[in-house]
Amino acid sequence: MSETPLPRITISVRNLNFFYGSHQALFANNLDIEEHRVTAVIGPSGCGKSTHLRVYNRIYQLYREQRAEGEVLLDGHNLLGADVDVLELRRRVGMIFQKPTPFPMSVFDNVAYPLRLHFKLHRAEIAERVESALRGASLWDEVKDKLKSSGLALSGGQQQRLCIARAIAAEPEVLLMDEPTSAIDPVATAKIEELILALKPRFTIVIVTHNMQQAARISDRTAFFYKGEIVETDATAKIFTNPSNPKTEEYITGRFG
Amino acid sequence: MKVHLQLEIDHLKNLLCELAATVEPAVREAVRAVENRDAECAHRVLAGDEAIDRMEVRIEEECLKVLALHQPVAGDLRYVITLLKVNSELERIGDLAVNIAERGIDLATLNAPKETLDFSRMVFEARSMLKNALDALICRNALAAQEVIQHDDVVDDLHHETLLKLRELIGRHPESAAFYLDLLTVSRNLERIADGATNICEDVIYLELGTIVRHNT
Repeated sequence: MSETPLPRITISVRNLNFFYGSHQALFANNLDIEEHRVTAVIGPSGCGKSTHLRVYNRIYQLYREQRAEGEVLLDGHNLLGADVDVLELRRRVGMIFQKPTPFPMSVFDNVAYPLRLHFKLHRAEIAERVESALRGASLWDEVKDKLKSSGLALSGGQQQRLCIARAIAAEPEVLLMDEPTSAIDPVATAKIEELILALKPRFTIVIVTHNMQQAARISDRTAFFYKGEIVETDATAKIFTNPSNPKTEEYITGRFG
Repeated sequence: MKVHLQLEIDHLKNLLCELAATVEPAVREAVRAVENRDAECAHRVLAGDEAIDRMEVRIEEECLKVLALHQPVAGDLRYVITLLKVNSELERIGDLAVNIAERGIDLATLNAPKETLDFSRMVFEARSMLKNALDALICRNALAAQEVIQHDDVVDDLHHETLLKLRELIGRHPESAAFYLDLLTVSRNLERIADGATNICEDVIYLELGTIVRHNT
């Protein structure tokens, strides 16, 4: 086999520990997130997958008692540093949640929101970028005639794609997705999965999922978490055909506990 | 724990053992038909092939069902895929037994020349390889599988020796060429049975270690 060049590392997690008050939830996590690849994070409920993801854009900081130790390097700079502009960090590292979270405003304004927040743009430029983001999220054709309708009036799958459009409008480098399809039906899930693959050349994507098949289908690399530790990280094809760690094998074959 | 999938996999394994337990005696009987020039014995092998074909189709259908309904991964996936491949291999070995038996029928109609050939070593080696390959599969023993693979050269060499001897015999006794050509076919089919055993062992190594060793020199 010919050696492919090593991919660039967008996020490099070094010895990350995380605490909810006095309770430690993550233990010495080390993980490299490769650029323009989809990394799936899997593991049983409560193993720290979402906690880990929430460090990447410091969204945990909204809660005073939560604390991260260690280093998370985004393009070589520790994003846990005191000097980091958190608003800019969250522009660079966008997030999609389990339940779609459209703002209570029009479809257009939902996507224009980050544009108005982060960039100084003319009205025409905003309209252009809103369209481009909605197209990027494979939603334009479905909403182009109801841009002034409330985002909350869309179907669940459309709402989730609206949230993706809003996230990519900010032109992030990384998209974090925390179980983005667990609240929507299989057809809408398939659309989101296709969208994730379409977004891969432009963004680095990290997705938390409980759906093994989904991780297998759409990700290039998979990290298996258990009790706050990263048990195994490898190419997804390797993890799902021949994992190195017996614990990973037990989990993905459903022989846990 | 996915009890249901485990039950399905156990069921598949039992079906494959059943197939193996039908193919192995077919090879034994086919060889006996040649050794004793026993057409009746050979016909029994021919008649038995239909059952082998039916079992193969059934196992393949069961494997496809498990793949579609349970979408197994990791060790479970490798096990189902291995059973699927060994299934085809066993059916092919059944066909090779039929080829040998057919030569047995033909040989029974021919006069045996004075000078003939002793196949016993080759028969022993090929059948041992098949038996050991199936044992390695059932016991999931990659080391035992490796030993069988290394043994394949022995049968290849024996086949080559047979070829040279038969060439010489045909030269000396051209009137018995038909008889010797039957023996050559038997030798080639025994060699292919050994190849089949080797293929099964390569699948066992994939099953246990997750590495594809086929085509490795």
